Amino acid sequence: MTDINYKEMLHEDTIFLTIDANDRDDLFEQIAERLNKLGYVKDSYAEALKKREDEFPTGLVTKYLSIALPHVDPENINKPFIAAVKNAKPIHMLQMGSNEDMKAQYFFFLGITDSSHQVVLLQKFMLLLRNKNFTDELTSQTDPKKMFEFLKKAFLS
Amino acid sequence: MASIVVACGSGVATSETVVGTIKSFLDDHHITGVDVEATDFKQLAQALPKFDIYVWIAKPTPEIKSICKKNGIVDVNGVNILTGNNDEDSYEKILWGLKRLH
Repeated sequence: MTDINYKEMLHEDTIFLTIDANDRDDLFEQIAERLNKLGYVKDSYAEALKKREDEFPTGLVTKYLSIALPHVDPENINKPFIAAVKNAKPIHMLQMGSNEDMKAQYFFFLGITDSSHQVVLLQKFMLLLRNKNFTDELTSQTDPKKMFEFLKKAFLS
Repeated sequence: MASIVVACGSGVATSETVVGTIKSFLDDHHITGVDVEATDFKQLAQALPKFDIYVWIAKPTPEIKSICKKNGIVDVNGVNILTGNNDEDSYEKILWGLKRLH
Protein backbone atom coordinates (compact mmCIF):
# COMPACT_ATOMS: atom_id res chain seq x y z
CA MET A 1 0.00 0.00 0.00
CA THR A 2 2.99 2.28 -0.35
CA ASP A 3 1.70 3.88 -3.51
CA ILE A 4 -1.25 5.64 -1.83
CA ASN A 5 -1.18 9.29 -2.64
CA TYR A 6 -3.03 10.40 0.47
CA LYS A 7 -2.27 14.03 -0.33
CA GLU A 8 -4.55 13.80 -3.29
CA MET A 9 -7.62 13.18 -1.10
CA LEU A 10 -6.84 14.45 2.39
CA HIS A 11 -7.01 18.22 2.70
CA GLU A 12 -7.06 20.44 5.73
CA ASP A 13 -9.77 22.64 4.22
CA THR A 14 -12.23 19.73 3.85
CA ILE A 15 -12.38 18.98 7.57
CA PHE A 16 -15.54 20.39 9.15
CA LEU A 17 -15.95 19.70 12.86
CA THR A 18 -18.47 22.34 13.88
CA ILE A 19 -21.41 21.60 11.58
CA ASP A 20 -24.84 21.85 13.17
CA ALA A 21 -27.32 20.32 10.73
CA ASN A 22 -30.85 19.29 11.67
CA ASP A 23 -31.15 16.38 9.29
CA ARG A 24 -29.56 14.65 6.35
CA ASP A 25 -30.63 17.09 3.66
CA ASP A 26 -29.56 20.06 5.77
CA LEU A 27 -26.17 18.41 6.30
CA PHE A 28 -25.73 17.62 2.61
CA GLU A 29 -26.60 21.19 1.63
CA GLN A 30 -24.21 22.73 4.15
CA ILE A 31 -21.33 20.48 3.13
CA ALA A 32 -22.06 20.89 -0.57
CA GLU A 33 -22.02 24.66 -0.23
CA ARG A 34 -18.63 24.59 1.48
CA LEU A 35 -17.10 22.12 -0.97
CA ASN A 36 -18.51 24.06 -3.90
CA LYS A 37 -17.00 27.32 -2.67
CA LEU A 38 -13.64 25.56 -2.31
CA GLY A 39 -13.91 24.27 -5.88
CA TYR A 40 -14.01 20.56 -5.08
CA VAL A 41 -17.51 19.88 -6.42
CA LYS A 42 -19.85 21.05 -9.14
CA ASP A 43 -23.18 22.80 -8.60
CA SER A 44 -24.93 19.48 -9.18
CA TYR A 45 -23.31 17.92 -6.11
CA ALA A 46 -25.95 18.55 -3.40
CA GLU A 47 -28.83 17.14 -5.43
CA ALA A 48 -26.68 14.23 -6.62
CA LEU A 49 -25.82 13.40 -2.98
CA LYS A 50 -29.48 13.30 -1.92
CA LYS A 51 -30.53 11.23 -4.92
CA ARG A 52 -27.78 8.71 -4.50
CA GLU A 53 -28.22 8.40 -0.74
CA ASP A 54 -31.94 7.75 -1.32
CA GLU A 55 -31.15 5.00 -3.78
CA PHE A 56 -28.03 3.60 -2.15
CA PRO A 57 -27.67 4.50 1.54
CA THR A 58 -24.11 4.74 2.88
CA GLY A 59 -24.53 4.44 6.65
CA LEU A 60 -22.21 1.94 8.30
CA VAL A 61 -22.38 0.60 11.83
CA THR A 62 -18.75 -0.31 12.41
CA LYS A 63 -17.54 -1.95 15.59
CA TYR A 64 -16.80 1.25 17.51
CA LEU A 65 -18.34 4.03 15.48
CA SER A 66 -21.41 4.65 13.33
CA ILE A 67 -20.56 6.64 10.23
CA ALA A 68 -21.81 7.41 6.75
CA LEU A 69 -19.81 7.70 3.54
CA PRO A 70 -21.93 9.88 1.23
CA HIS A 71 -20.62 9.86 -2.32
CA VAL A 72 -21.77 10.49 -5.86
CA ASP A 73 -20.77 9.65 -9.40
CA PRO A 74 -17.41 11.17 -10.47
CA GLU A 75 -19.08 13.54 -12.97
CA ASN A 76 -20.14 15.78 -10.05
CA ILE A 77 -16.60 16.08 -8.64
CA ASN A 78 -13.87 18.52 -9.72
CA LYS A 79 -10.97 17.20 -7.65
CA PRO A 80 -10.66 14.29 -5.24
CA PHE A 81 -11.23 14.70 -1.48
CA ILE A 82 -12.31 13.12 1.75
CA ALA A 83 -14.39 15.55 3.77
CA ALA A 84 -14.35 14.57 7.43
CA VAL A 85 -17.43 15.98 9.14
CA LYS A 86 -18.63 16.00 12.72
CA ASN A 87 -22.20 17.14 13.28
CA ALA A 88 -23.29 18.67 16.59
CA LYS A 89 -25.71 15.78 17.12
CA PRO A 90 -26.32 12.36 15.63
CA ILE A 91 -28.78 12.41 12.71
CA HIS A 92 -30.86 9.72 11.08
CA MET A 93 -29.31 7.88 8.15
CA LEU A 94 -29.99 4.56 6.48
CA GLN A 95 -27.58 1.64 6.52
CA MET A 96 -25.79 0.46 3.44
CA GLY A 97 -27.01 -2.93 2.26
CA SER A 98 -30.01 -3.30 4.58
CA ASN A 99 -31.52 0.21 4.28
CA GLU A 100 -32.31 0.05 8.02
CA ASP A 101 -32.44 3.17 10.18
CA MET A 102 -29.39 4.28 12.15
CA LYS A 103 -27.88 7.45 13.61
CA ALA A 104 -24.51 8.91 12.74
CA GLN A 105 -22.59 11.91 13.98
CA TYR A 106 -19.46 11.39 11.88
CA PHE A 107 -19.46 11.59 8.10
CA PHE A 108 -16.78 11.03 5.51
CA PHE A 109 -17.85 12.50 2.20
CA LEU A 110 -15.87 10.73 -0.50
CA GLY A 111 -14.98 12.70 -3.59
CA ILE A 112 -13.75 9.90 -5.79
CA THR A 113 -12.94 10.76 -9.37
CA ASP A 114 -12.10 7.26 -10.59
CA SER A 115 -8.60 6.04 -10.07
CA SER A 116 -8.15 2.86 -8.14
CA HIS A 117 -5.53 4.14 -5.67
CA GLN A 118 -8.15 6.45 -4.17
CA VAL A 119 -10.02 3.28 -3.36
CA VAL A 120 -6.96 1.88 -1.60
CA LEU A 121 -7.31 4.86 0.73
CA LEU A 122 -10.89 3.89 1.52
CA GLN A 123 -9.74 0.34 2.14
CA LYS A 124 -7.11 1.63 4.55
CA PHE A 125 -9.74 3.77 6.28
CA MET A 126 -12.04 0.79 6.79
CA LEU A 127 -9.15 -1.08 8.39
CA LEU A 128 -8.39 1.86 10.69
CA LEU A 129 -12.03 1.92 11.84
CA ARG A 130 -11.58 -1.57 13.28
CA ASN A 131 -9.08 -0.16 15.75
CA LYS A 132 -10.51 1.31 18.97
CA ASN A 133 -7.50 3.56 19.53
CA PHE A 134 -8.11 5.10 16.12
CA THR A 135 -11.83 5.75 16.68
CA ASP A 136 -11.21 7.08 20.21
CA GLU A 137 -8.65 9.51 18.93
CA LEU A 138 -10.75 10.41 15.90
CA THR A 139 -13.76 11.33 18.02
CA SER A 140 -11.67 13.36 20.46
CA GLN A 141 -10.49 15.79 17.76
CA THR A 142 -11.91 19.31 17.88
CA ASP A 143 -9.38 21.25 15.82
CA PRO A 144 -9.40 20.76 12.01
CA LYS A 145 -5.64 21.22 11.77
CA LYS A 146 -5.01 18.56 14.42
CA MET A 147 -7.60 16.29 12.82
CA PHE A 148 -5.81 16.66 9.50
CA GLU A 149 -2.45 15.79 11.06
CA PHE A 150 -4.02 12.86 12.88
CA LEU A 151 -5.62 11.46 9.72
CA LYS A 152 -2.45 11.98 7.69
CA LYS A 153 -0.42 10.11 10.28
CA ALA A 154 -2.99 7.32 10.56
CA PHE A 155 -3.16 6.81 6.80
CA LEU A 156 0.62 6.65 6.54
CA SER A 157 0.98 4.11 9.34
CA MET B 1 -12.53 -19.71 -13.85
CA ALA B 2 -14.58 -18.98 -10.73
CA SER B 3 -15.87 -15.45 -10.67
CA ILE B 4 -17.12 -13.06 -8.01
CA VAL B 5 -18.96 -9.81 -8.66
CA VAL B 6 -19.23 -7.03 -6.09
CA ALA B 7 -21.95 -4.46 -6.67
CA CYS B 8 -22.61 -1.08 -5.11
CA GLY B 9 -24.45 1.97 -6.40
CA SER B 10 -21.77 3.48 -8.57
CA GLY B 11 -19.14 0.76 -8.82
CA VAL B 12 -16.32 3.18 -7.90
CA ALA B 13 -16.03 3.50 -4.15
CA THR B 14 -17.28 0.80 -1.84
CA SER B 15 -17.45 -2.05 -4.36
CA GLU B 16 -13.85 -1.45 -5.49
CA THR B 17 -12.83 -1.40 -1.83
CA VAL B 18 -14.53 -4.71 -1.16
CA VAL B 19 -12.97 -6.19 -4.33
CA GLY B 20 -9.54 -5.29 -2.89
CA THR B 21 -10.42 -6.79 0.50
CA ILE B 22 -11.67 -10.04 -1.05
CA LYS B 23 -8.55 -10.30 -3.24
CA SER B 24 -6.35 -9.91 -0.14
CA PHE B 25 -8.39 -12.57 1.63
CA LEU B 26 -7.99 -14.99 -1.30
CA ASP B 27 -4.24 -14.27 -1.47
CA ASP B 28 -3.89 -14.86 2.27
CA HIS B 29 -5.60 -18.23 1.84
CA HIS B 30 -3.52 -19.12 -1.24
CA ILE B 31 -6.62 -19.33 -3.40
CA THR B 32 -5.85 -18.62 -7.05
CA GLY B 33 -7.85 -18.62 -10.26
CA VAL B 34 -10.70 -16.50 -8.96
CA ASP B 35 -11.77 -13.42 -10.87
CA VAL B 36 -13.12 -10.65 -8.62
CA GLU B 37 -14.67 -7.56 -10.16
CA ALA B 38 -16.81 -4.56 -9.26
CA THR B 39 -19.88 -3.37 -11.07
CA ASP B 40 -22.52 -0.72 -10.57
CA PHE B 41 -26.13 -1.45 -9.90
CA LYS B 42 -27.29 -0.34 -13.34
CA GLN B 43 -25.30 -3.04 -15.11
CA LEU B 44 -25.78 -5.70 -12.48
CA ALA B 45 -28.94 -7.42 -13.77
CA GLN B 46 -27.39 -7.90 -17.19
CA ALA B 47 -23.95 -8.98 -15.95
CA LEU B 48 -24.99 -11.13 -13.00
CA PRO B 49 -25.83 -14.47 -14.73
CA LYS B 50 -22.20 -15.06 -15.78
CA PHE B 51 -20.90 -14.90 -12.18
CA ASP B 52 -20.76 -17.64 -9.56
CA ILE B 53 -20.84 -15.47 -6.44
CA TYR B 54 -22.56 -12.13 -5.92
CA VAL B 55 -21.36 -9.90 -3.08
CA TRP B 56 -23.94 -7.22 -2.31
CA ILE B 57 -23.23 -3.82 -0.81
CA ALA B 58 -26.44 -2.23 -2.03
CA LYS B 59 -29.65 -4.00 -1.06
CA PRO B 60 -30.52 -6.61 -3.70
CA THR B 61 -33.79 -5.91 -5.51
CA PRO B 62 -36.38 -8.67 -6.04
CA GLU B 63 -35.21 -8.84 -9.69
CA ILE B 64 -31.61 -9.44 -8.61
CA LYS B 65 -32.69 -12.02 -6.06
CA SER B 66 -34.63 -13.95 -8.68
CA ILE B 67 -31.65 -13.92 -11.09
CA CYS B 68 -29.50 -15.41 -8.31
CA LYS B 69 -32.07 -18.07 -7.57
CA LYS B 70 -32.58 -19.00 -11.21
CA ASN B 71 -28.84 -19.26 -11.93
CA GLY B 72 -27.73 -20.80 -8.64
CA ILE B 73 -25.57 -17.78 -7.79
CA VAL B 74 -24.43 -17.62 -4.16
CA ASP B 75 -25.19 -14.23 -2.57
CA VAL B 76 -22.90 -12.84 0.13
CA ASN B 77 -23.21 -9.86 2.50
CA GLY B 78 -20.47 -7.44 1.41
CA VAL B 79 -21.23 -4.72 3.96
CA ASN B 80 -19.76 -6.93 6.66
CA ILE B 81 -16.64 -7.40 4.55
CA LEU B 82 -16.39 -3.62 4.20
CA THR B 83 -16.70 -2.93 7.94
CA GLY B 84 -15.05 -6.11 9.23
CA ASN B 85 -18.01 -6.62 11.56
CA ASN B 86 -19.07 -10.30 11.48
CA ASP B 87 -17.14 -10.74 8.25
CA GLU B 88 -16.35 -14.40 9.11
CA ASP B 89 -19.80 -15.46 7.91
CA SER B 90 -19.32 -13.69 4.59
CA TYR B 91 -15.89 -15.21 4.00
CA GLU B 92 -17.15 -18.66 4.91
CA LYS B 93 -19.94 -18.32 2.40
CA ILE B 94 -17.47 -17.25 -0.31
CA LEU B 95 -15.28 -20.30 0.45
CA TRP B 96 -18.33 -22.53 0.42
CA GLY B 97 -19.49 -21.03 -2.87
CA LEU B 98 -16.06 -21.60 -4.44
CA LYS B 99 -15.82 -25.21 -3.19
CA ARG B 100 -19.21 -25.95 -4.65
CA LEU B 101 -17.87 -25.17 -8.12
CA HIS B 102 -15.37 -28.03 -8.17
